[in-house]
Amino acid sequence: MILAAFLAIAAIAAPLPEVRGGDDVLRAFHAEARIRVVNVWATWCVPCVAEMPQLDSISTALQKDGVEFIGVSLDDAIPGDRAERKQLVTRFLTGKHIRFRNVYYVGRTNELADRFRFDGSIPITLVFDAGGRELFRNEGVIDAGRFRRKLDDLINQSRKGKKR
Amino acid sequence: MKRLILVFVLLAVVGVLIAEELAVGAKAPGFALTNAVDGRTVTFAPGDGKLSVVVFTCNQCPYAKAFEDRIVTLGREYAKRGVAFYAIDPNDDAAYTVESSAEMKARATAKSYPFPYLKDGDSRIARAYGARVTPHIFVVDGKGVVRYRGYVDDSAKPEERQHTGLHDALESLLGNKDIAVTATKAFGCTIKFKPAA
Repeated sequence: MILAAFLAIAAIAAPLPEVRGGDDVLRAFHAEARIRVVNVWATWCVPCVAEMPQLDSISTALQKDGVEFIGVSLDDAIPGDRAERKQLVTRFLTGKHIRFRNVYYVGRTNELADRFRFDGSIPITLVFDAGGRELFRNEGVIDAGRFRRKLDDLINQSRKGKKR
Repeated sequence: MKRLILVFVLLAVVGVLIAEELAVGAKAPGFALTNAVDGRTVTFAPGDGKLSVVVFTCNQCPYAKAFEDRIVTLGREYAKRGVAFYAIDPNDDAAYTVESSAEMKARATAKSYPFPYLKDGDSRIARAYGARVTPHIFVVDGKGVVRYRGYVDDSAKPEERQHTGLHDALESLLGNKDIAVTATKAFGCTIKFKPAA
């Protein structure tokens, strides 16, 4: 509940913070988030854009369960004016009514791929626990139903763990 | 016997559908594809004695476009040293009209491509190479063996480049030296594969 309130405020006044490495991405999560979802995307990635509304729906539905999503925009990988590109990403997110937080990656794409151990293809969606341990990953476009069920399972496991 | 043949056929089909990125040391697949610029068929026969570069690229991807001038420059420079470049567009032009042969021709002409720009209409060659994204590079030696695969450079921004993968691989091979880094992670837009028939 506290996390949901935090996220609602964050979504209203969300600037697009810059991050430089995978660890910066993990540090961007709220401390209350028990399950942390990282979606790596770019506005120029057609499948990434296509899955974003589904990710947003799942994110909104699961906020109350301690799940937080952070999108990592790789738009900076393309040469050009950074400020303009950031504005483009912000406009895109606003236009698509995306409510989960996003960060703007300004590091080297290869370092991010190495840190998160993926082959460089996006979208990729990774799920971590509060300690930064990877629980699950989805390479490519998510199957919304399957992804939601997986997160539900993780929420249940997390609750059981808490009760012990 | 019939059952065995069926198994082989199924394996071949599955192999095409879920092809892994071709490994360094693997034999490169050949192809005969239409050059969008002049409508002629261009054949690549691995093992033809020529050092070759197979570049999977396309018209719509901003990341591929960011590397376009760089690839054109490398293609022009290395053609003088006997290296053959083949640019291949594997994207489904039925789903994305920007990938049509006419659009390819316009792009190659505007940018004065010094190499053929080939349409992989059914994405079969991209599948055979296990290409994932655009741009995705495979360097093939004169014996038809893949010697480098991955990115052109580790960044599309010249000022941030630390590793010029394609350039370094070609220089090593032309100088009869070992390539320091033979496989890198190609980054870019996912290939819009034509659905398998």
